[in-house]
Amino acid sequence: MKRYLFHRLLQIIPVVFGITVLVFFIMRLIPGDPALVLLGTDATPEDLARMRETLGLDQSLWTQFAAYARNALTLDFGNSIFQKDAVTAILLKSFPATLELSVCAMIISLLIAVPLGIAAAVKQNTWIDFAGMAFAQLGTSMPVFWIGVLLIMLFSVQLGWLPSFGRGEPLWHGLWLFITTGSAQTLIASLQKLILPAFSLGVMGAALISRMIRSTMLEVLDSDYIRTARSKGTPERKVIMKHAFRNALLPVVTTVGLQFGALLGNAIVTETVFAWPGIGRVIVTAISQRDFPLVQGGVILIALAFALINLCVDLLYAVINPKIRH
Amino acid sequence: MKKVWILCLAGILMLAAACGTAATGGGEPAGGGTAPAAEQVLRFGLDVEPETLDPRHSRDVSALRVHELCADGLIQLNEKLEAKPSLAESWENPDELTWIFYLRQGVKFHDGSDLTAEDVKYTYDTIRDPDFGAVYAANYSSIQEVIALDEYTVQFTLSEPYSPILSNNMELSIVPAEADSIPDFANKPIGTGPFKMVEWVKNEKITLEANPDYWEGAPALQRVEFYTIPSNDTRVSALESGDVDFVHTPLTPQDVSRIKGDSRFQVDEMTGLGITFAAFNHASPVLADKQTRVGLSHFLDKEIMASELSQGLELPGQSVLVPNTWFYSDVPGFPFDPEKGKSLLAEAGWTDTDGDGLLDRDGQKLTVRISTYTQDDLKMQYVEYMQNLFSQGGIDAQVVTNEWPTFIADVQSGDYDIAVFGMLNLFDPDKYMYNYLRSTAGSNWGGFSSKEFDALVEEARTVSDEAQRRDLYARAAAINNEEVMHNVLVYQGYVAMYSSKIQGYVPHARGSIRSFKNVSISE
Repeated sequence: MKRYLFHRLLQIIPVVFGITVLVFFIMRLIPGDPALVLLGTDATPEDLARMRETLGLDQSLWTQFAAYARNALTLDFGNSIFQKDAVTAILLKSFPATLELSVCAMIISLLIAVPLGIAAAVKQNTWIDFAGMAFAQLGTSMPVFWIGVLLIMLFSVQLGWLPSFGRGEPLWHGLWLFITTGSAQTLIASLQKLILPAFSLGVMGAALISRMIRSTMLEVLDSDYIRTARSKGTPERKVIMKHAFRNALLPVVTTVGLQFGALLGNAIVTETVFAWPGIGRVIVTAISQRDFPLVQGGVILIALAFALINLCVDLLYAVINPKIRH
Repeated sequence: MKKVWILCLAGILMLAAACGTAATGGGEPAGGGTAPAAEQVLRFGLDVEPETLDPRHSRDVSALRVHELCADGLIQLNEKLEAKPSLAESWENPDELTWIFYLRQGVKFHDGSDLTAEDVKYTYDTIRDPDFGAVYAANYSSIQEVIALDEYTVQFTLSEPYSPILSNNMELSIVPAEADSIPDFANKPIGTGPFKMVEWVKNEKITLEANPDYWEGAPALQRVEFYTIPSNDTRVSALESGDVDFVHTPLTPQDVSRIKGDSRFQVDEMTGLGITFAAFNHASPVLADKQTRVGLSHFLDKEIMASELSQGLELPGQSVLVPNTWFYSDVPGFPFDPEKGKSLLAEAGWTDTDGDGLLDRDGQKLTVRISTYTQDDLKMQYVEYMQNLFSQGGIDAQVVTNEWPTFIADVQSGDYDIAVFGMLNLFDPDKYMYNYLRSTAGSNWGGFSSKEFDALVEEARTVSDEAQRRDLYARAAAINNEEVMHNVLVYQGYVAMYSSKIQGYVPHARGSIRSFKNVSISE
C-alpha cells in the first residue's frame, strides 16, 4: 500500500510539470499584454516598454520559463502583477474558500443523489422514478449561474431568509467555536451564507450522480446473487443497502471523484454569482487581466488538487471493494 | 456511524435554512433585515475588487471610491467640475509655469501626525519617480519640481504650461511622507479623509470607520463597508434584499427600470463623464478615404442605441465634448440618414456591380470589421446593431469580439477597422484629445492626422482662460467629427441606486461619493 501510494504521488510530479509548461506558454501565446492592461490606454510606447522590462516580459520565453520554473521549485510563484501580493499568499487565502464550497456542494449532491438514485432504481417505472429522473434532467440542463440567480431571487429578495452574497467565517472555525464554546451563532451565520452557493453548485452533481446510481443499481439488482439473497429470505432493505448499493458504489465513486473536479471548475461561475471569495474568482479576474503569475499559480494549484482527489478516489476503491488491493 | 454524520450535517444545513434572518452579509442583518437602529452604517456594493489601496499605485474606480473617503487631495472637483479647496485652502499661479498651494493648517493624518508641505512633496515626488513604478506617472510629466517653500506652502514648477493641472493632477490623495516605511500601507493606507481604514479582507469586504478628528467635522456615519459583488444581477438583488444600501454604475437597464418602481429606493440618473465611440482606423484600406467614413457614419442610428438598447440610460452622442460640463459645445455630428450614406458611398466608388447585394469597388467588397470587448454587454449590443444597420446598406459588416486584453492589443497594433470602446472620467478634454487624437500621440492607434487639430489641442493646454479653451476644444471636436476619427455613439449615463433611508447624498456625474461625509441613515 505504502509503495503504491509513493508511486502515485511520484506520478503527480510530471502531471504538475506538464500543466506548468502548458499554462505558462498558453498564457503567453494568447493575445494580450499585461503591461497594456496595467498601464491603460493612455500609456505611451515608452511607458509600455519600461513596464514590460520591469515585469521581465522583454526576455525570451525560454529565459522567462527557466526563471519561473527555478523559483517554483522553491514554491515561489512570484507576485501578482496587479495585486502586487505574493501569488502563494493570494492562493492560500482563497483556496480554502473554494474547497469549503466544493466539499459542501458535494455533500449536498450526495444527500440528494443517493436516496433519489436508489429510490428510482428500486421503484423503476413508477412515478418516483419518473420524477427523480425528471429532476436529474432538469439539474443537468440548468446552467449553474441561472440556478444561482433564481435562488437569490427566491430566498434573499422575495423571502428574505438567506443573505444574497458573500462568505461568513470559515466553516471549520464556526464548527470549532460550536464544539468548544457551544455557541452556534458563527456556525449558523456561515452556513446561511454557504447554503445557496453550495446548493446551486451541488444540484448539477446531484443530477448526474443520481442517474449513475440508478443505472448501476438497476444492473446490480438484476444480478443472480440479489435473487439468491431474496430467495434466502433476506429483508429487502438489507438486500438493497448491503448487497446491491455497496456493489453499485464503485462506478459511483469514480463519478463522484470526477464530479468533484468539475465542481472546482463550476465554482468559478458560482463564486462570481454569489461573490464568494474563492480561487475561481481570483483566476477569472487574473485571466482577464493577463496576470500571468497568478493564473499560472492558480491553475497549478487546481491541477494538484484534482490529482490528489483522483488519488483519494483510487484509494477508496480498496475500501469499498476488498477485491481491489493496491 | 456514517449515517449519523450525514444526518448531523443535514440537520445543521436545515437548521441554518430555518434560522432565517439571524445572520447576514458581513455580519449585518441579512435578507430583508435592517441595520440596528443605533448604528449608522452604510454598506456599498462595488463591482470590482480594488487592486491596491495605495493611491499612488491604484488605477481602478473601486480604489478611487475608497480614497474619496479615506484621503483628500489638494483640491476637489465639485459636481460642476469646479476646483474647490480641500487640503489646499487657496492657490495661485503667478506665472504659467508656477503653481503655489497654501495648505490648511491643523489637518491630521489618521495616525495623528500633522499634514505638512513635506507630505505633499513626498506624494508627488514618489508618483513621478520611475523607480517607484506608479502606473499613472506619465500623467504628471508636466510637473518638473515640487518644492516645500515652508511648512504649509508647496510650489509646483512645470516644464511646460499645462492648464488642466488642477483637474488632472491636483486631486491626487496625499499620503504621509513616511508612507513607504509604514508596514502594509498598500492594504491599510493612512490619509486625512473623513473615514479611517479599519480592515481590508480581500475579495470580501473593506471596512472604514468615522474619523472623529476630520478637519471638516466628524461624519454622521459610524462605518462604511464596501462589498465586492462582481455580478450586476447579484449586486442589485443585494440592494433589494437589504444586504447592501448603495449600488451604482455599471448596472443593467432592466434592473434600473425595476428599482425605479420600488418606493424603498432612490434612483439618481444623470449624464456621466464618459463616452462610447466608434474609432475609425484611418490606416485601414477601406476606411482610408474620408468619404467612405462619412458615408458609414450616416448609417449609425444613435437615437435607437440610446433609447432602446440602453433603455434611456445613455444619451445619443454628438461629439467628444460631454454635456453638462464647462467645456460642452454644440458640435454637430452626422445624422442618421442611410440614403445619404448610400449616395456618399456611391460617390466614393462603392456600388453593387455584381448584383450580390454587397457594395464593392475595384473588385473588392466593402468589408468592415466592427470590434469590441466582451466584458461590456451594452457595447456588444451596439456592435451587433451597427452590423445590422450596415448590412441593410449593402456593407459586409463583420463583428469581432474578444475579451479586453485581446481587443485592446488588436487595436493598439492597428488590427481593426472600427473599434467600439469608451472613455471615462472626462473632467477635462485635454487628456483624451491630446493623448488619443493628436497626430503624434502615443495612443493614436488609428493613424489620425490633422495639423489643425494638433495645433488647437496643443494651444488649449497652454491657455488658462476657460472660455478660450472651450472655443479651442469646440473647433478641435468639429475636426474630429468631420474627419470621422472617433465617432461618438453615446454619452454614457451615471446611475446611483440606494436605500431611501440614506439622507444627504449628493450625486456626482463621475460617481464620486465624497458627500458620504455628510450622509446619515434615517430610521
